[in-house]
Amino acid sequence: MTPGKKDKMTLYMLRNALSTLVIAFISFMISLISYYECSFLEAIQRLFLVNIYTTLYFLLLWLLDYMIFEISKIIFDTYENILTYKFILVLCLIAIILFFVPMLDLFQWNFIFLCLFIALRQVKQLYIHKKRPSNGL
Amino acid sequence: MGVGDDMNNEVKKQLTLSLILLALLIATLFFWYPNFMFHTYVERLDYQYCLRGENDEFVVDGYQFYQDGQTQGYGHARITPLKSQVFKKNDEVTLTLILSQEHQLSQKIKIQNDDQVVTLDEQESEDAFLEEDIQNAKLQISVNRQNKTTYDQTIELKNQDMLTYTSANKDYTLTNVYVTENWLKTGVFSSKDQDLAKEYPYMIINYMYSHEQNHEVNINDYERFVYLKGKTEDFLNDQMEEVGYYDGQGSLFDMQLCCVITLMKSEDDLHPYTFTLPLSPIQKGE
Repeated sequence: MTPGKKDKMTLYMLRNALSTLVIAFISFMISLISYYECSFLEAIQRLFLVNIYTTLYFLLLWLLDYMIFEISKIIFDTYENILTYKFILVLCLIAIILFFVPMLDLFQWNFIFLCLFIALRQVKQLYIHKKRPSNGL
Repeated sequence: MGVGDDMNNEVKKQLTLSLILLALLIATLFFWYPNFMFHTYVERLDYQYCLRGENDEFVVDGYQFYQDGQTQGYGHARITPLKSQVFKKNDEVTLTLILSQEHQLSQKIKIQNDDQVVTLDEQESEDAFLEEDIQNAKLQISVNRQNKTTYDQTIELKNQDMLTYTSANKDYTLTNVYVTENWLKTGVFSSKDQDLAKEYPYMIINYMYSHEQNHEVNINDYERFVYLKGKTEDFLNDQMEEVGYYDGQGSLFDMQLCCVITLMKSEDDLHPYTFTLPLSPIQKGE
């Protein structure tokens, strides 16, 4: 791998890590604010300062989001010619179904945002990079 | 070309490793879930206000309005006479909380001793109170002695700044401890151990304060503030509640607060299990 490509890889990984961190953070904020009916500032305190267990779970959820995102990238890039738009449609469908599934709102928001983020990344791959496949829609 | 052929060995290795890591992560999140829920989504009150006011003759402390689920209440204030003989034995005192011309809450008390410090009863209310409802609250104190009104004054009550304190270790949490500069309402104790009440049927919670600002809790620096003793089951069901007043110099906000919790196998257990939970504040949102 050339040094230039390696730098770009690191940059992409950092961008993905930051995006998944934002997803986990926003999901926690929505969940804590709606449960405690509190301000954004208080929700941040409840996430980072009140106890280590909440903070650790947040970090684990971020790591899970990051892993799922990287796995989705590997799968999509490998089967790009077969999956195409179907993959994006399935992700959007999962996001809609998740909205109606009775579960802790934290996971609900987290996986909805994650599905939409993965779908957005695939849209970018298909359009911006002009990788429009021959057997698309 | 088959689907399997698209994936070279390097990618296969990456994917396998990622899936193993993902499985480990999901397992960790699954096993930590009860612990996370126990510490993150704790019991909450819908609102809690504490009012205070004074004039030359009386100090009114800890007049509270609260909502806890379906229960709403007010009262539990302490009225301290500052001059002697304003309250005398057998006086009839009418205390009227005036929120507006239409909204007035009245309570009558018979004085048992000269210069008695009066604590109002807690009253349940059908209405919920908003912060703007209590903004112009006043307490009218009317003293009737041998069919003559000897005192009739109105004291303005101010909503005090309040912080919520919490504390937790791996197995126990203490939440919703409400604190103003000179008042504390005890919180909700909970445990991860479902059989705690069977193993330790009785318990004591001491709320303590210290002027020292040390990182390590040295219990010798602390003074007892509120003492609660009862059945563990009642503590776990949020049926043990007390209010404490701090009458010393300075503010409780500038002090270190902690709780000493004693779990006992019998009421006179000589070797109880005791541990300390330091309390830390959470800033309430506007």
